[in-house]
Amino acid sequence: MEQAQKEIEEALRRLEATLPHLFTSSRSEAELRAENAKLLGPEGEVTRIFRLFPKIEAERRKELGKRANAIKSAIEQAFQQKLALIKKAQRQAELECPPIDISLPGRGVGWGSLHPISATMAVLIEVFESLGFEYVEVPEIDFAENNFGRLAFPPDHPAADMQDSFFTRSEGSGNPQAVVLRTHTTTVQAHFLRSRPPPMALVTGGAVYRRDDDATHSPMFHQIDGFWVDRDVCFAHLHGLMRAFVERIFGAGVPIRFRPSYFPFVEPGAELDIGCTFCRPWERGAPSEQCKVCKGTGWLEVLGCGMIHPLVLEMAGVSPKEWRGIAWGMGVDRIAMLRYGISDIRMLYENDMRFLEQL
Amino acid sequence: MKASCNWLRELSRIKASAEEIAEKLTQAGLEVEAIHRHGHEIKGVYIARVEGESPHPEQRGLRIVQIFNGKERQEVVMRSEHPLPPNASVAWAQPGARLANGTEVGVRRFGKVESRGMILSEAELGVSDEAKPFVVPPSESPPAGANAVEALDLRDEILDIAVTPNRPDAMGHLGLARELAAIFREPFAPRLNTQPFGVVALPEEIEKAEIKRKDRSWLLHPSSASATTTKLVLIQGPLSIPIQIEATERCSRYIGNVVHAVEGGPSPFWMRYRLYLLGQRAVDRVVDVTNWILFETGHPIHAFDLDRLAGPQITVRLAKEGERIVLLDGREIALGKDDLVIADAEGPVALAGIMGGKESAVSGGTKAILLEVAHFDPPSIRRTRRRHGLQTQSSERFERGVDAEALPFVQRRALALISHLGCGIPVPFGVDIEVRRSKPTVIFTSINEVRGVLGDPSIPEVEARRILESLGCEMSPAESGGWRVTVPSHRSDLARPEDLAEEIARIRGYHLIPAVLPKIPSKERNPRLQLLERIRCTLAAQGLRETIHFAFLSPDDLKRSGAPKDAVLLVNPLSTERSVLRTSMIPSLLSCVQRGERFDHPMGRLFEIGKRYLPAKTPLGAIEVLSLGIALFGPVRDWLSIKRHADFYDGKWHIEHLFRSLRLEVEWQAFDDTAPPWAHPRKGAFIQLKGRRIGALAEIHPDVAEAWELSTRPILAELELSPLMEEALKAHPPPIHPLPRYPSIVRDFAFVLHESVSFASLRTEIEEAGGKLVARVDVLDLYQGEGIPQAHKSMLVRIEFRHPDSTLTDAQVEDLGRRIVQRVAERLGGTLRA
Repeated sequence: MEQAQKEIEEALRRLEATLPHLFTSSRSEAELRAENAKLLGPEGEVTRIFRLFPKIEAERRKELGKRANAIKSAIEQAFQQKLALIKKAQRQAELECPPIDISLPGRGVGWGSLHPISATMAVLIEVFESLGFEYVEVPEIDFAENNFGRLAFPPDHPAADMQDSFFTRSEGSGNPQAVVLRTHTTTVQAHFLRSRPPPMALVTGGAVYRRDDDATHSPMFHQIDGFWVDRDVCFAHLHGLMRAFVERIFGAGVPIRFRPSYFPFVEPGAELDIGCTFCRPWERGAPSEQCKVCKGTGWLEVLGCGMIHPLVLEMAGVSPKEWRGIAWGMGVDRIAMLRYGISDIRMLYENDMRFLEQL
Repeated sequence: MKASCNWLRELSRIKASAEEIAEKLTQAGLEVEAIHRHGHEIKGVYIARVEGESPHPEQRGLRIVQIFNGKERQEVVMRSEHPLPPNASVAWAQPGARLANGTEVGVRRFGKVESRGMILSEAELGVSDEAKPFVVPPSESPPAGANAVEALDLRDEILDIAVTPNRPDAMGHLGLARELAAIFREPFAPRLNTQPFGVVALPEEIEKAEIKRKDRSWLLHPSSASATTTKLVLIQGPLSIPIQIEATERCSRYIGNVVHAVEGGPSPFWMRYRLYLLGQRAVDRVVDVTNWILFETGHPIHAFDLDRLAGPQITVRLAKEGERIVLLDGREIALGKDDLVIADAEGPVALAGIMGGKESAVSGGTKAILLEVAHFDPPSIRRTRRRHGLQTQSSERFERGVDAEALPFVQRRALALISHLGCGIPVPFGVDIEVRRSKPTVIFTSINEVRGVLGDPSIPEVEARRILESLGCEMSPAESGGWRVTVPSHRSDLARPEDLAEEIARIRGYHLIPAVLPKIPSKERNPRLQLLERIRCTLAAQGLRETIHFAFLSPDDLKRSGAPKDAVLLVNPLSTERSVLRTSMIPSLLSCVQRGERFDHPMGRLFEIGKRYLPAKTPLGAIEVLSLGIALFGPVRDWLSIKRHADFYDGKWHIEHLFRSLRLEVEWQAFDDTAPPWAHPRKGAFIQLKGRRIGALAEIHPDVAEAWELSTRPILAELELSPLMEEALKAHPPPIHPLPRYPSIVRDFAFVLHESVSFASLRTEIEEAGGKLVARVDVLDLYQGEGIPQAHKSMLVRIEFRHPDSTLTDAQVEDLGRRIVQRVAERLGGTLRA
């Protein structure tokens, strides 16, 4: 009993002496925990002292117990303080690592892109859909009759001959000019005026073909066509529709002008010009003489339009006395070229990787 | 159509600037594409008289010319190849003058002689393309010292007008002037002399015919009057030529007049200059008159040398097979049975309405002419000129349709001009054969109909009437109320009330029509279009770049791509390179890969959504198949991982990702012996959807790669989109299961298997052995090489075990693992890797 008491007293003295510089040599959490275990662990010195307590006298137990508990809590407190210090230092070290090279490229599948034509087409069609037009599909290979005759092209019209349009060989018909690669998406009228009762408001889009090939003409290009047939449709509606369309696509404030023009399938017919969106004459007061896009005129031609020719309605079995229509058609390629600043139409169809990767 | 603003101003009496005229015409639908200004640049050029000349004392080939410039004498040095007639009036540019082409004239020294200014060539004065000195005949010259630009009336502006095909009337200055008068709200009353003079008496009655010839100041316009003199000329020859129209469908009227005592020689300056500005070279007075009439009236006429025609009559007929003609431009063409010609007794002398023959052409020695004023059927002219690849000022106008009613006017005007210019004595009574005449068009409409069509209730009726009248319409009240409008013969494009509404709108200005936004009930967006848009965006988000290719390509492209060779053919391709419609997306994509490799860009991830075209036994002979093509070529772009090229599994990710995004399940079917010809037979698979084959994904067949000279082995896919879209439109979001309530346990197994054993069969065996407790099987690694037997592979799989209703114990998992290993060994001959 004496022995145990002595041992405890000695240990307590020793421990009390070490308290001021407890854990000072621990550099990491692991070291700290190991040091701590030497004192408070199952085999630690403090634990061992507590194990000796039953062996000493009761009257000393209280006093020594008090001292031992004080030491234990001091150690625990020192441990927690040191632990917090080490963790803080660790977090600090983690934050002070060398910065990563943010200029290295991101990993993954790389970038994809939509073709300027399909992207532009989607934007244009969406505008007309939001104005109440329904998108319909029309074939690319079609009867010449749908492409020309039913759209009031006079027989022998130059557009309908071998020089200007592509014809496909079809079995059965001996006429080499019976089936054509559509030269415009206006064929939508020939198809739907006959198959649906009015009123209707339709829009379509897609590839069209003409026998031209130079810097400004591609043998294949893209168009959007739309029309609205109803009672009491008038030119003023066309004006309103085009205003809304131009505002949505090219922005508010872009002026428009209708120029009388001729297409066999409309009467009255017009071409729609918008203020040049590059030199913006309405903002500067005058067009730029050097503007390569409008060539100094201040205007860009964007589409052809008009009121559906009564002959077109008649041929489709729609009475022009009862119904009138407005229609328009536009080249998508040109609008895409304006949007992307592309100067040569052929770039759109070469699919050069160096072109595609700029998109 | 080129138009001279001076001419338009003279005819319409509108005093407006070229810019204003251009703006107004454009607004009225006659688009002016360019304005070319002439004579405005020239400064300091005067008329001077040549007083003498001498050779240059030192330099051969040069002459010293003494001129009088109205104030003083000057010496000018010039080259001597073009001699100047004595007393010639020339254009002299004083030092400091500016020429048509912008050059400044200075004082130049030639040896000892100082040249004060220069004597201008026709080209330098801007009155022709010729290098010879500009000389005015002395009798017609303005006085020396006159400002050349003013005295010669050189200032003019030429408009390039894009005349739409419905407006033949705008193909001449008269028609344009009428249009301008209507736009400017001025009466239209052009002063044109249509009275030929030249009294012709028959030779039997008197020996000499008395001719009044107008002696004109050459600077005056033909419409202005001037003094006349009398001259007697003897005429020998016929007074008329019989005309027969055989091809009555192609020629509705033909007027032929004989003109005698033809005197060639240059036309007066005003005529030559204006023709030059309009792009027509001045030739000879008679020919110049025919061109002048064409530009003035828009009606082409033709002059035959009467002595070169073989009598007794001329015939308007279709050519016979095998007939040939040498045209004015020297080309000889073989005629066909669809070509309309003017023929004499020996054969064709002109390609009607397009170009005259060389043999019967007017020349310097021409003494008498037959002047043709006719109307030819537009489609006939169009077909012939297209067939022979000819396009002339004449064909352009006949093709659009000239005004048949105007023929007598044109004839009188031409004869008047000929007689007034003194280049011939016309026999005033010609032969006029009229086969048919069309009735004037009458349109019944009203101001309310016009207002209704245009949507502008505020159009004043007075104004609308005035516009129609100013365009030549005759207006009278219709019995039923409203208007009875008789359309003038020069506006055959007006046939319906809508046409008249357009006339009123375009002359008033389209900008006056109000804007009313249509109220169209909104509809559901087209689901197919939306879906297609989603597919496009999904593919782009996968890192694929969209391409668009031509629908046509060469048969060879199909062949070397292993695409179906039975294709829809174009009847009239631009070239064999683009003569068939594509039957497959593969050649288009391969052309892209090839281009990439050629231009040092050997990597790409591409797709295209478009049509393939397959021959079919339908009336159209073809069906269009909406398809998707994908091509992956070159290395996978990653700066950390191992370097490798895109392979089948990269393609598989794209396809599976697409299907999953559409809530569809793709089924892969091995090629066996039926791979598409473009596909490597062992490195690809068919793509199926609900048991239906819709396409394939594979590495390129080495033969195809070689045929396209590719150094890489692209991964290609082609599939039909319509079935995919049909199913996608029906697809629903997947049902969501509740989250598992018990934890799963994961174990990894490295199986050594024969290389022919697929992952799918391994997974099947694992699932069979483990039953419902196998929640998931993943591949972690695939290895062949050192440590693995020949023709074997090591496949590391991770299996996730889970019991739906309890936590699995270690013992249960151990047991499952043993059962799996045993089954893989029994069924697949697989062993666990040591």
